Amino acid sequence: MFDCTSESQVKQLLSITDVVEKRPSTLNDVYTAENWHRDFLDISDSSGPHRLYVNIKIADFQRATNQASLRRLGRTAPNATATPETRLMSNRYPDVVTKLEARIKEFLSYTEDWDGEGAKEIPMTAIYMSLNFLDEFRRRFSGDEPRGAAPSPDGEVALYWHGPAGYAEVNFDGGGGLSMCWSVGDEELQLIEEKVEDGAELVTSHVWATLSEFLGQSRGEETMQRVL
Amino acid sequence: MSEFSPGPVKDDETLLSVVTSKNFISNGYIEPTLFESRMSNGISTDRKNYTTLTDYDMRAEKLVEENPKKSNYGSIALLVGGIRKINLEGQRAIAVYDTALRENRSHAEIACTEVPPAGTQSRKKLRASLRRKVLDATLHGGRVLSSSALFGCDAATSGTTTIGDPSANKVGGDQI
Repeated sequence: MFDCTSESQVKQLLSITDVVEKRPSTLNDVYTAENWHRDFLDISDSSGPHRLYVNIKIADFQRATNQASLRRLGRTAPNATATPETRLMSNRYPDVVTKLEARIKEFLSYTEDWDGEGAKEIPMTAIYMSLNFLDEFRRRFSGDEPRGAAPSPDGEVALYWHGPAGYAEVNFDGGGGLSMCWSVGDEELQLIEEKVEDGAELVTSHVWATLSEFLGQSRGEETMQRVL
Repeated sequence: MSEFSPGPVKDDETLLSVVTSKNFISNGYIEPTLFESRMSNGISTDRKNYTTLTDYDMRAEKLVEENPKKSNYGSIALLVGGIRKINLEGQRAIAVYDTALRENRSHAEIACTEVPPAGTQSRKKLRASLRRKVLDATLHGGRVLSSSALFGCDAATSGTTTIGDPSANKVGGDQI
């Protein structure tokens, strides 16, 4: 426990508005939540009883930063709440893709060493590309949505499909790189890679075509398994 | 084989692994990318048949106490046979070794025989194989459970997870 005086001091110190006013650069792209976190820990007693409060405030700030990043990407309405969609209860997501999108948006806060084992930061480009990919996917492949969206410690976003008929994953890196690994049944794993300069090119990519073929084939396999 | 070893790790054995980052958990289920940072150094696990809940919990706490970015978020159980069958280009890529220690005779390690550099095609293939096998080999449908649930000491195995939303299915659509 800490006394009222020190608590109020900490609250005053940790007010996000206050921080933003004092440090206008906080809103710059360059000045990330991670920098803020580090500076902040320098001025507070990180091992003391204030730590919990510090962490809560850092989380608040990171959420606000993430939301600001998404607004820059044009992914959320400008007047949307700063509460991340990922904190909503799962049954409040209108569809599977929205739920996957919410998961991908969480990756915005995955800065360097996000797993405590040296994982690379998930780049904004990878997040942007995977969200665009899902947008297109929703329009064309309803019912075949990925089983999940996972962060890779190599600094990529992975969308994956997994079931008795096979496995497939599409990976997005920070340099516009797109790769797909897949295997039908127990066949050997295959891989294709390519660069995509513009999000609009996603649907004309080889990866997109290969995934379409894989999903069609998997549906056929599933049907065969049910029939047999 | 170590002098403390209870014997080679068999395919039908269960391995337990502590989840030390919440970023690998989605709605209470494990992400298949869980082990990728540890491919180079080996993935430490405990053989369920040769440890106890108390010992396992003690080791789990020790594992996370020195790294502020890590916490004990629960554990997963893996079937050895599932994870062991990873071959790439005709060669075995993943092995599961009995690596018993004086202080932990249940210790076993999941090791990659060769870890290709980041960005290479070989690494992408290895990652994908490992991800698929993690999904195949994880028991309880990939759910992250409390250690007591995994040791059958509470009702969690029949419906309670330690993390996330237990009632939610895995994020995506129907399995392919």
